[in-house]
Amino acid sequence: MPNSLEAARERRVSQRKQYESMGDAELVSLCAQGGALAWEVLVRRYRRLVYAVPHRAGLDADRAEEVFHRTFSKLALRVQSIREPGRIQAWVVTTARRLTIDAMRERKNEGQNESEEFLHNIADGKPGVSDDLELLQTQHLVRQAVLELPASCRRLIAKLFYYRDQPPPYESLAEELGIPIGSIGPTRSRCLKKLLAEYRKLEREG
Amino acid sequence: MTHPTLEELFEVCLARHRGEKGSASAEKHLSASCSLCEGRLQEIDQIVHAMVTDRSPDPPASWVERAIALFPKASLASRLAEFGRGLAEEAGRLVFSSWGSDLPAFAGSRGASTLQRLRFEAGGLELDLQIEHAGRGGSLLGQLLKLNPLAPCAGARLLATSANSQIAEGVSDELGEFQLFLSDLADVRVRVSTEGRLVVFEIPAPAVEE
Repeated sequence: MPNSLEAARERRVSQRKQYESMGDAELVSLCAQGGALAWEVLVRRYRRLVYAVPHRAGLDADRAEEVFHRTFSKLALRVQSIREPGRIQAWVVTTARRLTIDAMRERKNEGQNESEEFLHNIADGKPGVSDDLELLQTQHLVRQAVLELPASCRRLIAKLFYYRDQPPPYESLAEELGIPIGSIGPTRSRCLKKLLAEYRKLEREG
Repeated sequence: MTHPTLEELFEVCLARHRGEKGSASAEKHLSASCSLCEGRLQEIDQIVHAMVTDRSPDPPASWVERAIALFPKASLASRLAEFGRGLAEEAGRLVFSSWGSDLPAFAGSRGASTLQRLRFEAGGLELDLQIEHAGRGGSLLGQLLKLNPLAPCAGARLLATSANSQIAEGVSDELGEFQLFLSDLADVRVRVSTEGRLVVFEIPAPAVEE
């Protein structure tokens, strides 16, 4: 008999790590074979991007949740028949955008004060809005690339670029990360170079 | 012509983001309209811009959990339709359950988990199954044997499902052994597809221990 539950758990943890490093096409293919873990990894990977579309459109929490839920419902139903699994990012954004438009129209029909300009623009895919969606997709891709970096690089990049108000001063950064202040610049350069390589790899895969 | 290194281009990009200039040599090179370096700088700028403008919040965790739970339901229907397509279902017969026996070795508890041992038969096929419960989920460790003559049933396809549409799939190894993990063990069914047969084993719920 194979051994214990701990072994099964360990295998699941290592499988999750393996899945997290996979490209979208591989994950979609595993989902198509009924892989629940692959689906979970896919949802976690795209959660922020899907949420960002209704959030930026200014939908309230209930409607944003509806868009979020319906986007993933459609994906769950379609995941086995998506023709170009590598283009799932574009599919997800387009679907979330369409559902956001529907929600905004519904809100307008209910007589609520709606941003006419935003509704008009998002529906027509005017440059301002498509730029915004393009930026969301780039941000998603860069986040994915950051996740592929070694932990020390991930921490440094997060502190240097994903700050809330102002980038932290080098003195506090060095103290927080436990590295000499003089090594921040060279480490940052090395990490950014690795980030660029990962970003290019993901772009090619997409 | 010597092109600036990637590191130097990153420094130029970061300096420009601060409203400053990069190193004199790199700036001089770029001002000479080197299309290669301009392209690289544009790409670097796109990445840096994406990072410093990325303020997308995380959706509430409950939304994410709800989305994760969506897939098994959609997936289960299509997997069941596909698994053993065209084969008539046979039902496996339970011939032994440790919950109904006085064999303490098979019906013990270990820490937070409990063990259940079951044996089924179905027309010359035997399934020996050990279920280790942990919380709502657990693992199914099993061995499939052909009885006439006695031999491991290797390469059988397995699909385990539970009431909450959880799915686990696997293939038996050369000893007929397999291991499946389900995060929910309510109303478990194990479907086995082998040699043109489709056998369904219904796992009885464990008896409540006093």
